[in-house]
Amino acid sequence: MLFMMNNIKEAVVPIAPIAVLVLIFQACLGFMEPGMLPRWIVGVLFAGLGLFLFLRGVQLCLSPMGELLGAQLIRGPNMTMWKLVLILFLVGVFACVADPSVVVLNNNVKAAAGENMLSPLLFTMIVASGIGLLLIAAILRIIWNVNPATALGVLFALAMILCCVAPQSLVPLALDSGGVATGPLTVPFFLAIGLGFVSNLAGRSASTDGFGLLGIVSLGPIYGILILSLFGKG
Amino acid sequence: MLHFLTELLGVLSDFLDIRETSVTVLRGIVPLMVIGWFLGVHPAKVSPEYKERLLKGAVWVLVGLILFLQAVEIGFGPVGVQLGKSLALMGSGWGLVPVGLLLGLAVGLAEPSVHVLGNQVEEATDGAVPKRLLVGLLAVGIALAVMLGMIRLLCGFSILWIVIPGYALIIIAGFFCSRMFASIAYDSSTVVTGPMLVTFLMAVTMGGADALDGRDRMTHGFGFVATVAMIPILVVMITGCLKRKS
Repeated sequence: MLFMMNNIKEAVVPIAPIAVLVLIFQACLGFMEPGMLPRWIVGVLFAGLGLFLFLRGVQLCLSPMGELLGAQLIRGPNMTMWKLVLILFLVGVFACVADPSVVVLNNNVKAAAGENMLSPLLFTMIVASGIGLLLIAAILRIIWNVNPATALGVLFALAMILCCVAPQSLVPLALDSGGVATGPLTVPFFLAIGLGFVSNLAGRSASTDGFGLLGIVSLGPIYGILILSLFGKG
Repeated sequence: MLHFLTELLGVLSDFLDIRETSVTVLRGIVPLMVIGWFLGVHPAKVSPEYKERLLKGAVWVLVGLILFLQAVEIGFGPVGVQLGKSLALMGSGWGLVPVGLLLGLAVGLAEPSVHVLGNQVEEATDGAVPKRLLVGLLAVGIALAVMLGMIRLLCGFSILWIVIPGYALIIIAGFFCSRMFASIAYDSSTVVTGPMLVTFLMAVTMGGADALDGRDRMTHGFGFVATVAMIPILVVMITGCLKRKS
């Protein structure tokens, strides 16, 4: 029961101020077209309910599952480096595809890409692949025990160089995709995998090695979109 | 009143058309569950009750996702876009700036992960940096970041002016604090880029970009999430550096 209160809080508290603010805006500015107010009310209520159910489900299912998967990745009897890489990639891709923030971003790209040659399907694939690849990189960083500040510093510096040389119209989208793709589904799931992994890795404390993972993963979509854009848009 | 009710019914019937959303949700969740189940859960040989709990959770994830995404498509999204459009068309569009500030503040203060991060940093600094201080700094930072984003939308300058100095500072600061602090800092960008910010704020900026002359959705509507995401990294990193010095 106590757990539920947490999830209710997590779902309702972020929405409430925005819901109220928008109503205040409507009262002061009257910006809504006819028929929008019921849309807002329905939207807020079901977003809250949906988010609550989702967060509860992540806690009951996805986080534990991620930890078990992480444990298997290091402890599994038939695990090879190749299998590890492949599984991490697939997990990264599908978690990204399922994440609600990514779906919303994709819809926005669809709406924005009228003039551009970036097809929404290609976009999702690039973002998801980027996440998958950098999830591998993050786990490798843990295995090889690279200093997080160095690893992330280098990776971010590379990303910044890419931002300068890539076609400028895609840079804001690429940068956004990184933050968005680390959303309410991918974050707890990847963290759980990392935790399951690290707690079975001899001689590591979770407090230094559980983290840094998300920072690395968030760069995936940035690399994916900008590198591909250098080869000409498809 | 009757008019409102008919509108409401219309919205609900739109809402209940979940076919497209269901496909979107299933094609991500199902493969994920399959991999997680056969490669993680099954080998671990857990109890049937545990498996039942997992499956129950999976159903909640599915239902929750469908409800949330429908709500965004039917309610959140259109209203956000409309807000952005109206503000952009009022006067020369500078109404977007204070609204951005307010939205950023609302998101920053209300987002639970911000509070969790505050706890983490308080613990990591042995109480030297109280949670309230960090949450306050983050909320103000996020509000300013959204405001900066709106100014960028209105003025049209490149996002590089924001991200290059910001990340240069972050990368350098990363070498001046402890390994643990650097990790926490880099991860904290995920903290604020939650579904609320992404769905509503993005809708507003898209609407704004649409309505403003010489601005398009692609180049100027995006970039807000990135700007906001930099703030927690900066705040935590600098906190870590200052702690090192003392």
